[in-house]
Amino acid sequence: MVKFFPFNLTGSQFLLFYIAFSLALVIAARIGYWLRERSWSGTLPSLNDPYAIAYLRGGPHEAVRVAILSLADRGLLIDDGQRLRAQPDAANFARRPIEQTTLRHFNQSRELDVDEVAKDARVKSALEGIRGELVNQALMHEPGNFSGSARAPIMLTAMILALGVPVTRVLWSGPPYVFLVGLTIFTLLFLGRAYAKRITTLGKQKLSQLKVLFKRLKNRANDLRGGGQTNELALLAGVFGMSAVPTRLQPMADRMKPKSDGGSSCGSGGCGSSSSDGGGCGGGGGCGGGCG
Amino acid sequence: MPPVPAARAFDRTALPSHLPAEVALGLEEFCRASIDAFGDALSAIVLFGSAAEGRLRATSDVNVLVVLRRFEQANVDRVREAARTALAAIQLHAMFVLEQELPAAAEAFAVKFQDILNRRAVLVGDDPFRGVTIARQRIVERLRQDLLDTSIRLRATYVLVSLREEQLARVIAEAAAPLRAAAAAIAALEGKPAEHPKEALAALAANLPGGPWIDVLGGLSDAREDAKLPPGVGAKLLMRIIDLAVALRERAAQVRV
Repeated sequence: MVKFFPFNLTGSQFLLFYIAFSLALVIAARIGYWLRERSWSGTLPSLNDPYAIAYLRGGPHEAVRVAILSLADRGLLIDDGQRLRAQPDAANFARRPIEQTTLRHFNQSRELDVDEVAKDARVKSALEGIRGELVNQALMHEPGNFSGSARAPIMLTAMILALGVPVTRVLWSGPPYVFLVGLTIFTLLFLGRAYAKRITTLGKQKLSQLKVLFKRLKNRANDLRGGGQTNELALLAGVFGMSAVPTRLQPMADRMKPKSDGGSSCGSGGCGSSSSDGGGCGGGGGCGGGCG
Repeated sequence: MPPVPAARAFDRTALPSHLPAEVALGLEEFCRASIDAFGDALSAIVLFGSAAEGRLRATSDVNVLVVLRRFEQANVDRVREAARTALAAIQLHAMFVLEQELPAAAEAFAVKFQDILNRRAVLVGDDPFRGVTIARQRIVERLRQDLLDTSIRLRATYVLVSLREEQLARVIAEAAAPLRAAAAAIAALEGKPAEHPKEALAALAANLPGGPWIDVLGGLSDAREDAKLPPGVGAKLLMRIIDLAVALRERAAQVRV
């Protein structure tokens, strides 16, 4: 009777074994994350802030886009088609930190550049506040916080296995080295990427719920009145992205598209957001896990 | 002093089962936020109108009456975001009424409150309208006033909006509710109550002078259903709706007080 013992496998056989082992490890880690997070039951947290919704769905740049669009619609930002400028004292009328800081960024007339706005230290701080709230509501992960992360033990176990198996094989019976090192790095990167996903299962559920809740708003997008008396436009853009905003605002929305993306921003139409936190688009609806 | 109820949790089963998913969700979020914000100052939340009777259309507003014991800024400020979100999501319009104002409000807005009495679902708290009746005289007076107001408003709307034909469908859709509510009130006052305001208007229109009104009623339904009308239809239809409001007012003038 031949017993299967991976550390005795020859070079190509072991590489095949390790590929299968890596795949199983990544899948097991994802199932482990899912099992940890699905234990939640009950009412989803309420989320009424359009900028937080945009952040959850598409990252910090998307929150900035929604803020700019909303402030321009309210007449607090003046757009001459090339450059934006805040109305005098406009920041005093805005309530949310991201609105106030975005307006202060445009105290001087500037070109509409979402990356530049997101890099502004004051805006960054406001965005951090939004992210912190989303993390507190368990809608987003905080990958850097190992002690507070439900995913960290699973990720660490998987990484130890991913690293331990090839090291043991090499110590046990020698080469192959080069391919094995490459494969190991690839597996570790894959595991790290899965761990660093921005949105929790709860966050994905919340995004799906928001798309249901605002279905009617999307249907009447072109009937929305300007002027910002309601927060309909901000919520529409927050939930569905720039591709869903009324036709009259499309030229401005187009100017805010990610530079690397010829298509739509992270909205109902696709997953193009260039969020700087490495997350890309969130889960739920049109921007599913594939962009995570 | 009446006993103050303990803090409540929202009971999802209070929502009518026929509501579309997004409307049920929007109502649930608003009710939860109101319970959290108002605490023991919240007496009841009542859903009324087409949403309460399962006849909600794409363009329909969702109407709720929030009955309060006190209207305090600290509490109200906490519900503002949820109210704005619900307005954006499902066009939820909330009326905030104090418990002690209910009898006076029912008298002052007799037709509207008669409609609430007929078509309502209590979502939170006890039914504030249990045992409430509105004096016939008040309904008749208010009915005549409402129809006069509707006619005058629609004339101004015609003058200002009919050159923008694409905007007429929404205006016409919005005109349906007061006309139907008035028809339901007239039918009830004449001793022939209809099951729904839409049927009341259809039954009444069959015998109103100036008809036939069948195309007008069809146009009202189309505008409510799709928020769209074919080109060339809206302006003529709005003029006919003004005629219908006048005919209804003349009928209301004949109702015995």
